[in-house]
Amino acid sequence: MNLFNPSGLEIRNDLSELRRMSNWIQETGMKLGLPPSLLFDLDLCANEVVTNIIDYAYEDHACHAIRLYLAHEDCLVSLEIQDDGLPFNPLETPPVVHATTLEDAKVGGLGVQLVRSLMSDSRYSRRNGQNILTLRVNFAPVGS
Amino acid sequence: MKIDCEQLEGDVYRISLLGRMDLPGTEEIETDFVRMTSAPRKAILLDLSGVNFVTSFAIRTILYNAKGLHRRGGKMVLLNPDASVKKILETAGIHTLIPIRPDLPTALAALAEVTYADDDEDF
Repeated sequence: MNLFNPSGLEIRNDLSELRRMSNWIQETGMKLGLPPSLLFDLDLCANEVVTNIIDYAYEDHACHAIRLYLAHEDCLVSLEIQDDGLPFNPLETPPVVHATTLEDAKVGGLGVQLVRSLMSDSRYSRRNGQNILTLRVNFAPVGS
Repeated sequence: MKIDCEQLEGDVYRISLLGRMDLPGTEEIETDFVRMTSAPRKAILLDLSGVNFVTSFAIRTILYNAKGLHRRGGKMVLLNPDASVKKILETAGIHTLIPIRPDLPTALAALAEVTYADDDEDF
């Protein structure tokens, strides 16, 4: 794993940063030679995870940094997402948000379901006041 | 994102979405989307052929409008999503709730024939 020089991005905990994050994933992924279908899945999972972090990981209204690192070795890609919010695993059910409609309640957790389906595995840890989520996915090389 | 609506024969409305259906993109069109699927319209083709990305927020928005239609005795069919988008819709199980068809003739046929097995079905 080329963790010695993973590509990194820092964004603010603001939903207006989502597009900048997606652009970075696409550009970085293309430079790494990752196939478009894989970039689609990574982009989607990053959107789901980071949206959950922004919505649920903080109690204050302050500006926080969320950091992303993208690396790959052979056919394994790793996307690591770090934040300094409350202890919170974005792949667990968020704190109870009372649904206003039955429809909302029924489709709760869809983002998490998508991430679990698309990624080969995910690991959460908490270190030095940081939530660290690592998403990993295996892929077939282009042309195989 | 862009959204457009045209009326086809037989009071069928084709709503076409164009662009990236992430959170900001979906928010851009959701007010118009609700308006375009509201009463008295009952037969909606949601053309996804121009959509190049989709998230859970987009799926919930589609479901919300489909559910509203259903409550009024209406129907929605999803038309021609590209392979990546279709994969996500199927991973989310949407195809079991809202028919997905690859072209206009089969989509119109699905609109004419689709029935919900359970009137109380919840998404």
